[in-house]
Amino acid sequence: MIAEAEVKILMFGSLGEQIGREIFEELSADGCTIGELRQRLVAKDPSRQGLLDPAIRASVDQILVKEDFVVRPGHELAFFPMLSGG
Amino acid sequence: MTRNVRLESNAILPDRELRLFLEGLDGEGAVVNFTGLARPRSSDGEEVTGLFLDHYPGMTQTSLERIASESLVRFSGLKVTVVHRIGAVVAGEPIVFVAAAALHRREAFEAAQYVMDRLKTEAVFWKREDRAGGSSWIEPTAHDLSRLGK
Repeated sequence: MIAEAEVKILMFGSLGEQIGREIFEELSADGCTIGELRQRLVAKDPSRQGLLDPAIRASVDQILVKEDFVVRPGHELAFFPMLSGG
Repeated sequence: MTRNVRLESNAILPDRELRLFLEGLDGEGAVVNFTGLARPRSSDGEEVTGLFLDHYPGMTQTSLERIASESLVRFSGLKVTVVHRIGAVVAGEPIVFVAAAALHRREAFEAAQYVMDRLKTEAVFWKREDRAGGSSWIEPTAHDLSRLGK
């Protein structure tokens, strides 16, 4: 049996306003890709449709990552729209 | 200290920031300081009551420190400070303060411009413009992005 752990997913800007600042999701030790995670989160709650917008970027441990990056328990994960800048 | 970067949740006081910056100088002959204010009107002329600056703690600080550090590499003998608001900012209030000190004025002017241009597009912020009729989130303009190449 693969152990699962809950990860906190942060969201910022308009995305955070639309679907909440935080989502908690169970991830197996094997993890899943960013792309798979987006699909899974939206399948659980269709109001999170904004996560499928390709303009929404993902970061892991505060570094931008691509869709095939595998996220695992213990990672700090965030989704956010294009930066507004300072 | 050649580089000072701070996220500020309270009002920025430009005169105080400038005084602190001047007190830390050591023989530089030129200081340029810039204060950006939250504009009371949007690009379409509608009245704006304020801005909300969302940020990602850690990542936002790192983005500002990277810009400041790279300005020190680009301009020799530079001292730089960046103070940036987070949270709710009332229209007309300072949103950012940048000061650059160098031996000569040209480097100080260019460094302040360089830091501000990069802040405008690379700083990790999401800005929401609040108006009487509703709110909208802001994304960088093509003009902001084009300035990066200069």
